[in-house]
Amino acid sequence: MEESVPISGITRTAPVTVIVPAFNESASVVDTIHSLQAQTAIPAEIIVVDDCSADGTGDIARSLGVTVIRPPANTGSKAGAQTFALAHVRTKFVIAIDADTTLAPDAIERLLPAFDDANVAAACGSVLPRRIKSVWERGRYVEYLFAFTFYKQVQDQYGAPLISSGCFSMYRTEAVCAVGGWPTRTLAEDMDLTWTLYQRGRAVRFVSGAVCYPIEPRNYGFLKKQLRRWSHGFVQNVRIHWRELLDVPFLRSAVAVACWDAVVASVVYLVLLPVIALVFWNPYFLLGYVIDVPAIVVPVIVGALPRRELGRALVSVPSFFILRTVNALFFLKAVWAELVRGRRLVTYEKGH
Amino acid sequence: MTAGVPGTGIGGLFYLMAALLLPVRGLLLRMRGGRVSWRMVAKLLLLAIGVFLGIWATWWLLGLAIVPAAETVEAAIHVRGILRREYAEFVRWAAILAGFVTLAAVLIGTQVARLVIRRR
Repeated sequence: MEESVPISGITRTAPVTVIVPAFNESASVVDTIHSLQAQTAIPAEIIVVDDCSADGTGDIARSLGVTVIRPPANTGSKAGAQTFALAHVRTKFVIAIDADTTLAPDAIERLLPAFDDANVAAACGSVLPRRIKSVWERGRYVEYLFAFTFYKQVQDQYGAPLISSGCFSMYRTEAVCAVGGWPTRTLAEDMDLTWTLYQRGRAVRFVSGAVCYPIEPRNYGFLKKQLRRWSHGFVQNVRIHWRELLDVPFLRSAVAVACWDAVVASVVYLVLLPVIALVFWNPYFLLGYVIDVPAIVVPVIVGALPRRELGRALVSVPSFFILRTVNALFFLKAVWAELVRGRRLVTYEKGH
Repeated sequence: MTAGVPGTGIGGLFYLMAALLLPVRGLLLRMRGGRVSWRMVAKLLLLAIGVFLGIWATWWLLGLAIVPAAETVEAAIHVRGILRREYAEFVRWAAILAGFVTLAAVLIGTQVARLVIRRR
């Protein structure tokens, strides 16, 4: 993990409450709490929502000196657990962070200035996998380097980050309360909340220097759960919000382009290329899978260089192409299930 | 989370164009009294130029791949002289053009949808 340089060098207490929803997270919640306690802007309170865990998550968290609350029954989703904790928040700002995510020491301090603008209701930072070993973690590492160096920064310049990431985001407490907390109607509560805030005329910011490190899926089993949740969540959100999104400049275009790519580019990627290669019995057509390497690699290099991770990033590039193919498959399946067959995915399954 | 297949499709072109237009947007914003982070605009513009060069390299690679591919297509359909080396250039431009036309169609479609929905 790269250690960021604290921007102020002074430790202070920030008017921030951190909510850590946790269901059977005894293996990872300690690192999360330690990274919160080591912040240059120390949160006024850290609340761990022990969502009826059976592995002692609550006791472990309590032993570290944080507030632990437990709902009467499992809330069924991260959003449910976060909203349960919202009633206990007394500070101006609230942070939602996953129980498998750690922060760079100055992450909270770097996010706070985004709220100098009174209209900003949410802010998020960069995401990088904490462990980069398996093919899936490497693929995700390259995907994040690419997206957070290029796409997300452009989105922020146009005032419309597509999503304030659920693994680590800061919100103005009144803004989250005004919409009734984190919505549970989709499997991507972070996207749902972000788009709801836009529709209410609020602003969202992306701060690239505020870095968080979640644990990404190390095997296909976990990856499958995560991609199912993300892809179905995206389709569900588009279905709910598309009319209102048409009134949000830039975001409407970004979402339309994302929808097109999720469907058409996936079909070309998964069906058309292999069919053409087979029909003409020529492997050169399969170059289509990797022909955009140069365009991908440029932002990845730019993102990796300041972190002194160029070698690691370049070695990981082939994994990105494998992950991308799997991504495409899951998005097509989600579109088919949600829009064609009318089968909504409603079960929240956490895949690290 | 990235929808679909990051990098492929029209998404890459969309963000490239958006980044290249940032200085124009910055100027308009500045004229209206808004604050602009020119450092960030310059950084993203340089990045976009780098990505553009990457796409140019892709375009060049596409040409390299098209020649051998075209020869097998010729053989498969038993037609000589239709898909020749010079057509590689045509395919290169067609691929780029198709991307821009598709992107324009999607963006125009979004605007049309907005107008129709608002009118209702």
